[in-house]
Amino acid sequence: MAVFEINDLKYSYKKNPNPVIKGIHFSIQKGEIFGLLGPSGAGKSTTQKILTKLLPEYEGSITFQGKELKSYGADFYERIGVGFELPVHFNKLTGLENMQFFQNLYQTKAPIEPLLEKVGLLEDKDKLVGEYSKGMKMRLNFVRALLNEPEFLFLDEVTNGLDPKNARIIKDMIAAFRADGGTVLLTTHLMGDVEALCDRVAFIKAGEIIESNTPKELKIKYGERVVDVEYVKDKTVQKEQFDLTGIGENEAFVDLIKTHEIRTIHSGETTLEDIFIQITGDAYVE
Amino acid sequence: MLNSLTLLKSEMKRLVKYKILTISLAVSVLWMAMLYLIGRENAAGFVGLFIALDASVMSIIMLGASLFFEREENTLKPLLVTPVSVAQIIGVKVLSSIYVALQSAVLVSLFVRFVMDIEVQFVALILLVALIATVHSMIGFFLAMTAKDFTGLLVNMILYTFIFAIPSLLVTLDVISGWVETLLWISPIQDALVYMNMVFGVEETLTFGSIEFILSTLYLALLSGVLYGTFIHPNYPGAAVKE
Repeated sequence: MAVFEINDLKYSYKKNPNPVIKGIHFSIQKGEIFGLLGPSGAGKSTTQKILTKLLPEYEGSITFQGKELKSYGADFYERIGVGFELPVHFNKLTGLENMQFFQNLYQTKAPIEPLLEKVGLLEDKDKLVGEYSKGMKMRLNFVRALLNEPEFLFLDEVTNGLDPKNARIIKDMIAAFRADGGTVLLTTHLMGDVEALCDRVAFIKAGEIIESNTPKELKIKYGERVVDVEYVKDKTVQKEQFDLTGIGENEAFVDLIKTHEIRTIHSGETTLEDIFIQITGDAYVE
Repeated sequence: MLNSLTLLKSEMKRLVKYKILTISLAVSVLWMAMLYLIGRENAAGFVGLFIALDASVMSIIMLGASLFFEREENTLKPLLVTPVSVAQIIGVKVLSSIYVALQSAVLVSLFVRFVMDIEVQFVALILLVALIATVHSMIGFFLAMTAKDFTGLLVNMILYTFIFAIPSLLVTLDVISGWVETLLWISPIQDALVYMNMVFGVEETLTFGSIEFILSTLYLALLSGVLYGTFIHPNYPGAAVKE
């Protein structure tokens, strides 16, 4: 069942007549993590702003849980959580005071301290946010998105500025959110996050979706159907490439792995990073 | 309603944490010291001026600075994705601005009433300061939302003060009169000055209930409504999400 159904979505900013979103179509199914990927200025953030009702004057149709998005009032925000790309806190309030401020605006309230504990901020809850590092502020951003026990999460570059350990904690929490039935729209250019989390992705470039599929299918589609083997022959490491099709019946391949010491075997599957560059035509910067 | 109260409580807490109330209190103490030094005989003529400036210019500064600092902290945008309406967000900012103006006005008025024995119409003071702070909060929103940056806001504020406060001062000093004085009724700062002079028994040409008073009050209320309805409410979300 689709949570969001987007059809022929178009958007232009008032001061710029050229459309930034040019009639895109996609849907987000319940219980999936959907990645919206693309280079800077491609239209990812604009799409997210439209879906969170921050930009109400769009063309086309967007339905949320089967109902036109425009027909929702304040109740829409009771059901969603938004994790912004930049820290969004009052610097002169403590971490806990910030969370209490935002949580008091919702009817449903998740316990704050267990969430702070999960992201490693419980001990710093009474510190002023102005004294937090960027990584701590980003973790607090993520907690803020979960304060109302949302059923749908919008996450924009959610692991931006986090060290690998804290990025892993956040990714595990996102995966747990999905396991509990939650749905996520992840906007990012970090392909590591996409590989680890996304069930399906869409690549957006210049306001148009130019590719959409599961990461696995994309890798197959854009990868080479070959197997690269590194083996030892006459005390030197040598390489050979075989066609993946019918590899089991390929006598040369079978003979090679039977008679030589194999160092590595890799399929020609590509990475999302390569696909990103191939599809968008832009250099990928992590 | 519950969300408005929550927002208001949080806004008040922020006023304390960001030391806005302390600064406002310090300004009130400064006004009191100046009035004491001026002496009882002349203080009645100045107390209205001080409170009018406090409720008008300070409301603009408070609103404008608050919007810019919050934009810097990125705290305007996340409020728009909570179950709080734009009207509630704007309303709470105006209410907190009224509170700051009233705190100062009431403190200074209590001082002149009980220390300097100057008559004060407290009910009129509270109602009129609330009106002055409301219209100037709306002007503060307008000036901040049309400015590109904080410097732009300061320029807008200086221009506003120059255009509307200087002629009022010149009229007060009898440098100009006649049609310019009449035209000054469109100046919210001039209206604030006249209202406060009424509250402290200095203004003799205008009385409560007079047609001029009613028209000027309606004008300020209408100006607040027009600014809110045609500019502030429709443009607030766009201004809040601007990065």
